[in-house]
Amino acid sequence: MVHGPARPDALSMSTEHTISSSSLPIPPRLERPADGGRIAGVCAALARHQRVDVRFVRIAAVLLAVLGGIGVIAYFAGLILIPAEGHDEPIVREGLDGPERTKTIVLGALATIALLDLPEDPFGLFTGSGRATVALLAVAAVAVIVLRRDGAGAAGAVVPHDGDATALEHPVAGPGSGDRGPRRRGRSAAILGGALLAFAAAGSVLAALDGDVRWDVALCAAVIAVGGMLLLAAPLGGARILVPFGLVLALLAGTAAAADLTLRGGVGDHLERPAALASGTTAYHLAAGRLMVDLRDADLAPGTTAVRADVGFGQLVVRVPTGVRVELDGHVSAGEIDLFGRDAEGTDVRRSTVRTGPPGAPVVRVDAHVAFGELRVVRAGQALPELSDDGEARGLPEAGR
Amino acid sequence: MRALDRVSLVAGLVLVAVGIVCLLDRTGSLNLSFDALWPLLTGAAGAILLTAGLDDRRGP
Repeated sequence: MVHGPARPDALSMSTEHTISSSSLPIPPRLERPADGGRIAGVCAALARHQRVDVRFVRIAAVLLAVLGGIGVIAYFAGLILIPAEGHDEPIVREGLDGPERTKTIVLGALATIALLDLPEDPFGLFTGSGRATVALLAVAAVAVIVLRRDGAGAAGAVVPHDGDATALEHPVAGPGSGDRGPRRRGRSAAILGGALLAFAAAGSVLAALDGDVRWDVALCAAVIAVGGMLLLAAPLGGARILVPFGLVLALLAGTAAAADLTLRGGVGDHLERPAALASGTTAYHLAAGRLMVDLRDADLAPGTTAVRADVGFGQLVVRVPTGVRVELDGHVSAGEIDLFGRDAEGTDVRRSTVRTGPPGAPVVRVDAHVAFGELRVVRAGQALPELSDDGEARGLPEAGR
Repeated sequence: MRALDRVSLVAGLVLVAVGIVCLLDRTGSLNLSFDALWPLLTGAAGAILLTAGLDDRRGP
């Protein structure tokens, strides 16, 4: 808990309805503390400066980081612009004025270019451009350099005037201690930075494979990799800073696996209205948004035609034609399913149904899956309250397969 | 020689196990459902927390 200086009794000074500026409490200097920080002390610095609980600042930072990635940029900006405890100037000023001027400019330019792309697609899931890998690489490199430098600076700040060498020994906390001294922070930063660099290298390899490796499989491999790093580090003093990182990855990988999340096909509202369906399987995918597969006007090949539709987050509406036999298999990992008016909701909801057609009619086999959201299957003549019969009239773009 | 960090050891084993289960699901070898996922993840986190709590290297 951070305590600021005692607030003066404002009531006693307001008898004449004036408050002089000198009576206002002076906020603590904005600096990243040598202890009390989790990564680089940016949240702790802001919390101490504004006299708020650091947990609120950290929660806000995490939310902003997850929701679009702006929190990563803000934290990175704080890292280079807020001076560390024991330093008079922020790291960017010291770097530009010091002997590492070239390195500072190159890393700063690299990180800026990479981070500018983060808010659009923080994990490169939809573009696969690999820019997130560059961002990860740059942030890791700068973080390691800055944090190791902070540790050295803060340790130097405790040197007494009499030059007692024993006083240079800054307390180093044990693995389970809550005291995060500069040296321990520097070690944690090196471990975390090393792990991020390893993942950046792995990401670059995956990008070079040009999509041959699925992201969900790569996520599982990342969980195993973090576990392997922890096993290797255990006899060397441990690497506990990787534990929460690994647990978050495990949560993401587990959720993706349990929900059969694939995240293919982009985002937005898409309408698929094929004029004809050949024999074999026709697949439609959407990562997030609303996908409507309208088979009313499709000219069906004789025999069996298979249609597979998959939505990651959002709504999937399948409109099946009349006069044919429809074999339907619907699966919603978490959400609601509505097959011809019969609905159910929950997790891992599966429903199958068959609608018979005239003898000798073509067969349409529909396999529909929504990871998180709603699945609706309606007949050609069945009205939809939120969808008009003509998708284009509502501005729904035609999507490619 | 540094002392073995039991928390890192247990966390490593747990994460490797969870990662393998997820990988088996993704490759089609098993079907992981939400009903099995939550016990798996809470058990993993619980094992790590339990080890951290029982780790007495901090002393009194």
